[in-house]
Amino acid sequence: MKAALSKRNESSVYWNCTKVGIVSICSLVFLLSCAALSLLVSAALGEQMQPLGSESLPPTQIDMKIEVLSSHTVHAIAGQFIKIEGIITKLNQSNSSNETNRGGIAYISIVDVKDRVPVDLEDWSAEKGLYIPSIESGQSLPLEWTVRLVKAGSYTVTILFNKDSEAYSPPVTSSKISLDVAPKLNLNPGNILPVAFGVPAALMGIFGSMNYMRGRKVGVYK
Amino acid sequence: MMLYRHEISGSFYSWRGSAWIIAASLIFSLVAYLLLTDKELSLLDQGEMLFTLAEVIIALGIAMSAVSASSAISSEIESGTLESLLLTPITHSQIAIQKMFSIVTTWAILYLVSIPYLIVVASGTNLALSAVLYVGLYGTLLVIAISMISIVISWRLKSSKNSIMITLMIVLILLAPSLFFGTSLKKTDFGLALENINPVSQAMNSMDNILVDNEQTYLQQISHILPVIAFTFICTLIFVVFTRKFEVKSAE
Repeated sequence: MKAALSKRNESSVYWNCTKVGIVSICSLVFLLSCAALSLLVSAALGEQMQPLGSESLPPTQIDMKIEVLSSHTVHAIAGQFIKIEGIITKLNQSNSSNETNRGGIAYISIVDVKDRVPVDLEDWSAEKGLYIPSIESGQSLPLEWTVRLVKAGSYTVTILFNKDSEAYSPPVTSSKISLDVAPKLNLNPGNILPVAFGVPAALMGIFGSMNYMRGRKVGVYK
Repeated sequence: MMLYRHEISGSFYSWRGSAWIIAASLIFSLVAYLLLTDKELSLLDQGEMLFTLAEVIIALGIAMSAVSASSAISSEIESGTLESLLLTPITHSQIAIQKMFSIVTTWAILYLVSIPYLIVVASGTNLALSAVLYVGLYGTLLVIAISMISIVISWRLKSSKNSIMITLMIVLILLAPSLFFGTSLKKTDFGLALENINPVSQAMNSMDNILVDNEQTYLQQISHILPVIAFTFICTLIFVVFTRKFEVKSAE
């Protein structure tokens, strides 16, 4: 009797566990299918949104032009100052008649070709950006930067202009200037070693002899 | 000039006294050697190298004179020798003046030691003479002023420890804008105001104009020279007023 009861209990526990397992698996499948459905919907909506987004892409600043006036290839020595000169022109072909003649910021960008990194202009140029308050159609403005060549290497210099009126438009860029900076080392120009070692040695000699002579006079050294 | 001679012989006939000058020359050697042999530093423009060395010379001169002068009277009080000094047939002002002259003589020797370094770093440029003359001018004016103020502080505080601390604080405050302030901080209203009223900043900015921007004439630098002269004049007045009479009292 007892054996029959225990067997019945075991089978009921087995069935209960199986039910819980089945319910759990069904719930998981349901949740996964919901998630997959929502992903599909969002992907489909995204595809529909893309053309809308591409329609609102910012227009390129085709009405502005930057020309480089200085030489397109510069060879110089580190420590020298060079001038980067350009001219910015607002072309007459501006198709947006209601556009204001607001200016923007013209700035230079220097890229280290060898290291493939942009250069931090902190030590290179005192004025990084030139603010142009307004520029009329057909007007040209000169741009000039004095750049100190801090480090030897190969660089490209570009002049860029960001319009105030078009926040999301790409900047207008000039053609590149290739800049080769040769190293200049002021190593030992006046032969520093004799002075660097000679002066302290001479002072030690002078003060040592003074001290010794004084000591002999007063009887410290015999 | 008995006291002056005594002070000078005390400074230079002992290793302790002459160690100042030797240590200073070693610092100049190190700075000049690094500027001219280190690959990164030797990329600097020679004017900037010279300016860095000039800054070090003037700053070291000011610090040395401040430390020496700030214990000039207080050390006599602490060792109990001021009484015997006051018994000698010289006035109290003369005691202070001779002490001050002995400190200026130490600066003069330091300055003479620095000249070969300035000439070597300036070789190949037209800046050597200007560097030597202007370092001499600004260094001497500032050393005289700081020595006078330090002697007054030494007398008023009557304790070498306190007077050295106070004087070093003043020197650090005077040197801070030139040595520790960044370019952006110098350009703020606070930085500009501080630089305008600070004689050490005036001297350093003038050296910058002379050595880096090549503005070498006195007329171009008169706007910087006058504030330094005014500062020296004010320090002289304070010195004259406060060193008329020394009292024979030990520190409490």
